[in-house]
Amino acid sequence: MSLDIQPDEVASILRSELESLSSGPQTYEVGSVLSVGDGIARVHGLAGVMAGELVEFPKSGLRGMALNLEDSNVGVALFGVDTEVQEGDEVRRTETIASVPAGDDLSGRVVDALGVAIDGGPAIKATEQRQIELKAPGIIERKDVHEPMQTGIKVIDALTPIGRGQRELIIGDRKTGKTALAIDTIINQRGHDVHCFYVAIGQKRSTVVQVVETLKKHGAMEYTTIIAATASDPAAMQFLAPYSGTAMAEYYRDNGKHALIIYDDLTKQAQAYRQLSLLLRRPPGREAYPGDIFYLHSRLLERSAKMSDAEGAGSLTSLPIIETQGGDVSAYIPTNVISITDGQIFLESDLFNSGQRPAINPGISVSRVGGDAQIKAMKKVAGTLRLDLAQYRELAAFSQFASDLDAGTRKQLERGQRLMQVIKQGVHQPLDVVKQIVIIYAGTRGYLDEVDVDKVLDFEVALNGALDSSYVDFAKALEAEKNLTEELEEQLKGILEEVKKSFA
Amino acid sequence: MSAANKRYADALLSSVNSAGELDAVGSDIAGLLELLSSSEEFEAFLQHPLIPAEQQDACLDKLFKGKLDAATLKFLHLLVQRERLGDLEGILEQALDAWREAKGILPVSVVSADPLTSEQESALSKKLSDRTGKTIELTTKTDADLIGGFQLHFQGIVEDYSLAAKLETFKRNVLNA
Repeated sequence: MSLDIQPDEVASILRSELESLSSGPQTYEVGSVLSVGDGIARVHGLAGVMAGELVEFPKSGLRGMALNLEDSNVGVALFGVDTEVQEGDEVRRTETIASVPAGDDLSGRVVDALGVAIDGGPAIKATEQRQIELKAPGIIERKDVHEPMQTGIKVIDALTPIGRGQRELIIGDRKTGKTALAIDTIINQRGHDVHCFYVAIGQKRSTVVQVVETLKKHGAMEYTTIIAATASDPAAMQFLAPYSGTAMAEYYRDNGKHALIIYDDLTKQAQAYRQLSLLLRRPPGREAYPGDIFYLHSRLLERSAKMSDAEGAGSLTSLPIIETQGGDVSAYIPTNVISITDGQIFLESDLFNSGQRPAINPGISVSRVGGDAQIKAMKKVAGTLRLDLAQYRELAAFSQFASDLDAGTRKQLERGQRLMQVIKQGVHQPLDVVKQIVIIYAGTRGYLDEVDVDKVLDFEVALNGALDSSYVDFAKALEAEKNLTEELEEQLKGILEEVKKSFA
Repeated sequence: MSAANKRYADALLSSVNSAGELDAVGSDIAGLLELLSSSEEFEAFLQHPLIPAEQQDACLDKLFKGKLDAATLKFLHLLVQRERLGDLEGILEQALDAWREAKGILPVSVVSADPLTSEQESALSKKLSDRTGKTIELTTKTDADLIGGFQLHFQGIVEDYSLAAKLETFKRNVLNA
């Protein structure tokens, strides 16, 4: 590494700093540690400390956050190993609420919950420092969600479309592909000028490394920031990580740009907060979570918004992830987050194990605002897809008991089987919207009925190949038009016939 | 640290009527605290759970009658009655703080790199009392780690005039520049 340091510059910086050296005393408030343990220090003194203020332990260099202000002591959650703090140690106020750096320098970096680089790279040069806890934008500053945020996953973009500024929950058991879905969405933002933030809470470090490697491999790391509070980090860091990630992402939202944030996962954050609350002796409620656990998530997710034109029309879309136990969505945290978000994508282990991947259950997945955020062409072709799939599921369950089926029913069943193939998609292979529209059109309008069920995926590959080579003009026209006009539809029909002929 | 200690301490001070009595009670508090730190037997007597209340009263009278102000002694008997004699030390500490507050005395601890001369001490006291409008009760300590200058500790606030602190800020500013 070449050092680009000018001796003159160094001298002038040192001189100016030295000149300011003699000015006045440093005044700070101190307290002393009464007891410490389980990541919590109880502190005497610090009479003026604010709730949520950062405090310093000068002896060990540790920092902490004042969470409980009681008449006889202050409860401080430590951002480090509590064995470094001893009884009687001095504690200093910093008079600042926790804040993190924000700006373009964060792109491509891995940072901890306080915005400190942990990827071995140089220190982060912040464009600005932003407070971790900020109020969500008000009503006047907002606008309804109306632009699509393409995830690149056919079944999501067609059935549960996500708009910029929306909060869409991804919920499912462990090992159902929740993280993969989120990563695919990040990969698909390439070239769409969306800054992505991936907050890893309570995960294994090896998993975080894997995510970084995957993103790098697909060239998605350059516009992505990873905020990692892994399983071995203190509970206070795991609790804070989503807020710091949001503060970093809000920088883009408030500057008229677009950001996407993924919280993976909020169950672990709730657990970290439960740990802190119990150790701070706050009263436990249902499932031993503290009383403000709903507010914990609602104030976080409320910060995702589509800003009005007067505010620069930026947006922050969030994809919170919740892990369920044995498919139980009626547990406390899942019901809370379901009610906060604008819709949810259900992933099921049965579907996953039967090879239906992504294992999304289209029947119970919904998007409450996304309908306005679909391009017209997609709306047109996806309209019948949901109905067809629903009818197929009903018939499939019924047909197991029936021996003879009339021709109409058989036809519907076969159509359904092919549609189930159409919504399958490989991991880390997001599709652009034109290809999605074409294959769904083919499925719902019966162009696949003569193709064997196990050949549908091959047909799709052939179709995509053709769109990339022979029919580039059509793809471009559809992308520009965003609507399936009669003229384009005629062209599409022609293309599908051609591809079918050459495929057979 | 308990809330009851503070309440009893306030009770002691509010039972005082005249300025002369306030001084007397103040010196009683200081004297009792002194006694507590020097006499293990007295401490043991206060904490012992098996001494009946009448005997505690009699002992207190024998020990302190004529030596302590009437108000203080009455307060000690009240503690016996309320079974709070074991908390005496905590209560007295709170009472001392409250008494200082009432008298307008500000305890200040000075930590300096080198021992202060008596002129320096009195100059510092004068300067501080001019600034705060209170009588200053100065305690001194030395800490060579400060390199030069001094720190003032009062009411949970530190005013740091030491060279060590200045060098530390200097280091931080240069690193962040």
